[in-house]
Parts: sequence; structure tokens; C-alpha cells
Amino acid sequence: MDVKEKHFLRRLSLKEFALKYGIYIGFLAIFIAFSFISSNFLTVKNFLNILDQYAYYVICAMGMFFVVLVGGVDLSNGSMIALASVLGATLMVATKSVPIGCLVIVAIAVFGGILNGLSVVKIGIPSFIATLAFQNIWRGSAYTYTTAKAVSGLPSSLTSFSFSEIMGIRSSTFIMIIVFCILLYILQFTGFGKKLYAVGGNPKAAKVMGINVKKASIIAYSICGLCTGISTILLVSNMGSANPSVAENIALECIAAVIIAGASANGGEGKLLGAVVGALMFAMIKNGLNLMGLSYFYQLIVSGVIIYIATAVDRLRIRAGL
Amino acid sequence: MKKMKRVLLLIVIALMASALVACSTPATADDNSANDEVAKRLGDGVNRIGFAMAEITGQAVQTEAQAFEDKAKELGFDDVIILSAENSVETQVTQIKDLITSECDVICVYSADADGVVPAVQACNEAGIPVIAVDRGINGGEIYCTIASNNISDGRDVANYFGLMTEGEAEDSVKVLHIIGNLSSTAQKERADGFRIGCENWGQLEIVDEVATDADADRIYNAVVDAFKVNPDIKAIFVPYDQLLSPVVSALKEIGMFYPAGDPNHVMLGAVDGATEQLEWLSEGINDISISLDFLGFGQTAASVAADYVNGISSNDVVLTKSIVCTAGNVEYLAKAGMLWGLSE
Repeated sequence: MDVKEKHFLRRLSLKEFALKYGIYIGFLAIFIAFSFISSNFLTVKNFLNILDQYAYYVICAMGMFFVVLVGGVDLSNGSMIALASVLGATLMVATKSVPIGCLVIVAIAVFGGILNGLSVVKIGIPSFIATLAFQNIWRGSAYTYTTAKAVSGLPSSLTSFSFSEIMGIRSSTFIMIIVFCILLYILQFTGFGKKLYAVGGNPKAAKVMGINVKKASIIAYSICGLCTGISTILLVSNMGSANPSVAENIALECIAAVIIAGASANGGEGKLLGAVVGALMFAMIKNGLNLMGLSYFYQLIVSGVIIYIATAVDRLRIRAGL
Repeated sequence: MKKMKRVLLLIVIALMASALVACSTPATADDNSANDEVAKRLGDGVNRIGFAMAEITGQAVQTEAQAFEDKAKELGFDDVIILSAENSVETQVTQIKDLITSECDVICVYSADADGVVPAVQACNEAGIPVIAVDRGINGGEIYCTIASNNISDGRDVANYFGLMTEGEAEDSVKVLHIIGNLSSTAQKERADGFRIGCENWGQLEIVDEVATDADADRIYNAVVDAFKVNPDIKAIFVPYDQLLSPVVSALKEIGMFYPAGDPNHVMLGAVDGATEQLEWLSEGINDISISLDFLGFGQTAASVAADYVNGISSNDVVLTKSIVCTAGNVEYLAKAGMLWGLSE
């Protein structure tokens, strides 16, 4: 902590502190609350269970962060997961080759990301509309291709991957950490990362500064596609089959996770760690409510209230200039 | 660089915190994993049972859930956890794993997808927790007992009724509209398959349109309106669940095609489940056939089989529940005989 920051922290009132670090405080508060409410919450097994179960979701949220950073959204990632999973799974079943299937999944997802980027940047379609259109196209294609049936009979090496552990921690958790480190490196230690913040913050100024705004935006969408592809592999491995109806709500949940964690919907703001914390907060809420055995109807209300409070705190933080 | 250090510091703190939690946690599910056959009987300590349901919206599944909860408590389970995945298979997989974490003695699964939940069932097997498949089958893992009706047969029965009622008509002269509900539901898929098989057995029945509606009332309404624009002489409509009949009837009224049973212009309506409103409609001539499934039986049998397991009593691998064909001619009698969950007191 440098001198400037120390000085700044001393000047922060309690209210300001709560607003500035609201997401982390909220995360901690929910964590503590569930620990008291459910005896099964505060266990290593459950902690690892959350990381394992929601690794695909956290990775998706990290990808979404890049798109939100450049001022866009990607509503198509859930449908892309469905399409890439059924196509990749079909190939795996036919060839018995997991690497080929995984490569195809990633390639399709990245292709989808590039298409999103081109549609927004080159054609000028608002990201909400472009990705909404692709959401329908990908989902419809997945249903059509499979006639709404799941693709099963995947190679056992893929399905057993979801059970594989390193030092008692599931492989999916390690993949999530690796993806986080790589993306964090890109954002914090490369010029490209700084360009993304500049593009999202003020595209015109970024252009004047000589940044290729269009290229940066397309790459951001491609990174989102890449994350979607990795998520797809984890999800298929976790479920042992590919289902065209999966991940229907993941896009909105990822956007919510990124926004409640402090990213600006207008772009140019936020931290990757915040997106991860936001996604894990969602995961923790779902897990905690499940362990409590709370009815689905109450779960909807509770999760809605939490999202509302978290977002309201964030807006207040912005208004307070923190 | 300083920022990176702070991030790394946070990660290290998080890892240390988790390690701390590990050290301070008195017992995990691993410690008392139920790998030993039956560790305790009902009444010994806390008995917990979980029910992972594909959905819980709708009278039928709510009846099933309530019957399960009541019976489980009556039989001595202290904690009854019922979770709904709202037809999302990945949510259901997560919920089943959460039930494992909750250290349930038995986990019942009304699956969102017969293939998709298999890894979760395998995780239950790994944890030594028996899985009871309720209402819908599961295509893998070790299932302790399956309690179900025959969805294919249920769909076929509706087609057979349409066939019988129009017997003697010319080939392909009776046009049928097939409304498809939730595409991710295996019950919906099986009922649809059964209905198609049934229609093939009757030469006069011709399915002129199959419309995917995602069980959405608006879409069903529009699908019926649109279908009659293309085929104004549709004579029968099949929907996979009773609750989806309401928008169908509304649409028929809107386009002036609603005529009660007995009228020569009547459009036959058939569905599966045996919900209260649709059973009452039979007597009013609004619809023609409803297959009443035994939702009370699903829930009660699941709880009983689970209790038997905990008490060391074995069960059959498969328990089939009864489906009852209800029409205007027999619904009153069946209701009086107490055979319909939808019209029980």
C-alpha cells in the first residue's frame, strides 16, 4: 500500500468504505450468514464443491468482463455453449477423440465471439441486438441439430475428467485459476489490457490516441468466445453429455455478476477479480440456499433482493465518486 | 506491479483462509461417508432426505412434492429438502451435488434430463448415497429404484382415443395439431413419441403440424391461431400437459373454433396429467381425454422406498405407478372412487 493510498484510506468514512468495498463486504457477509444458517456450508468439501460446480460459470463471467469492459454485452454465450457442446460432443462420440472434440468446441465458440465482434464493430449493430439474434440462432441450431435430444455416450476420459483431482482439488478449479491468471496478466501487464480500458472508457479519445478501437473490441469479443469454449468443455465434462437446453440463463447471470462487482455497463471500468468475486457470490448464494433447502420460489426472491442491494450499493458508490 | 502484488496477496489470503477452514472444520461428508451400507435407521440421529425436482411449478408436481414431504415426515425423516431446477439440467446436477454435501441419507431425483443427470448420480454412488428415480427414468449410474409411469404409453393412449373416436374416417382425413411443450423435458419427449406412434396406428390421423412452444402460454395461443390459419379443418389437438390446455381453449374461442363435445364442429382436445381444472372440463365438454398420472403415488412411494432403505428393507428395482384414462364418461365415477389426485377431497 503506497503513501497516497494510506492517506486516502484514513480519510474514508465508514459509509464510504462500505460503498467502495461493497461487493467484498457483501461477499463476506453472505459467507458468514450461510455459515451460521447451514451446518454443511462451512466445510472444505462444500467450498471445493462450489468452486468445482461453478468453475464454468466463473470462466464465462471472466469472458463477459472483457466484453463489458469495451462497452458491450454478450447475450449469446449460453446458446453458444449449447451449440458448441452438442457439435463437439457428436464429434467426440464419432471419433472417440476428446482433444479433437475440445478443439472444435473452442473453435466454434471463438468463431461465435468473432462474429459478435464483427457485427457490433463493423456493421454497427448494438451489441444487445446482435448477440440476442445470435442467441436465437445458436440455440435454434442446437435444438435442430439434435432434435432436442441430449448427446450421450461421450468418451470416458472426458467424463472422468470432471472427477479428477489434484491435491484433493478438482481439475476444473485449477483450470479456472489458470484462466484467471492469464486474463489478469493480459489486463494488468500488457499494453492491450490498457487499450481495452481506454476503448471502453472513451472510444473517441482512444482512437485519437492511435488505438485501433475496432480491433481491440473484436479481440475482446473473441476472448469472451474463448472463455465460453473453455466453459463448454467443463460443463460437458461435468454433465457427461451435451444438452441443447443448457445454460439458458447464464448470459444474464454473468452480466449481473460483472456489473454488481463494479464494472460499468458503459465500459472502461472494473476489475477482473471483481467479476470473479461477483460470480462466486452468485454461486455461493445458490449453494447456500440449496443447502438450506429453501423453496425455489423463495430462492428467486432472495437472489433478486441480493442482486438489487448489490447493484444499488454500486450505483451509490459511483454517485459518491468512490 | 504493486497492484499485481495486492491481487496475489488476496489469492494467498483466500487460499490460507480456505486452509484455515479446512483445519477448523470438525467433520466433512468424507468423514462419515455412507459407504458403509446402512449406517443408521430412521430415528437414529438426524435423518435427512433430498428430492431434486426438475420443476415445481404446476399443480401436478406440487402435489408430488407435497405428498413426498408429508410421507417422508410421517415415516420419520427429520429434514426433507426439496429443490427445483426449473428444467435446467446443469442446475439440477449442481443441486444433487449440494444434496450430497448436505449429507442426505437418500436422494430422490425427478430428472430434468435422463442423460444429463448421470454424472450427479455417479457422484451419489461415489458418496454411497442411494438414488431413487421418480417420475422419469435416468439413463446411467446406479439407480436404487425407479418409480415411474409409462410416458410413451400415456401419449399413445391419447392418440388411440382420437383414433377410436374417428374410426371409419378416410385416410389422413383427421388433421391433428401436436403442441410440443418443454423441449428439455424427457417426459414431454416420451409423451410426444408415444403420441406419434399412436397416430401411426390409425390411418385416418394425420399430424399436420408440430409446434415447439417451450410450454409458454403465449406461444401456445399463437401457435393454435396460426395453425388454424394454415389448416382450418384441424380436428384434434394434443398437448403434453393438462396445464397447457388453457391457452389452447382461449385460442379456439378467439378464432371461433370452440364448440363443446357433441357438436359436429368440436375440436377434440387431449392431454396428460389429470389436473383438477381439466378433469372438471371433461364433464363440461371442453376437452375430451386426460390421462391422470399418480402424482400422489410418485411422492409417497419415493418416500416409502427411501424409508425402507434406511431401515434396511430392500425394494424392487422398478415400481410402476398407474395411469388412468379419464373421459367425460368415467371421470365422475373415478373421482367418487377417490382414484384421481386432481379431484381428491
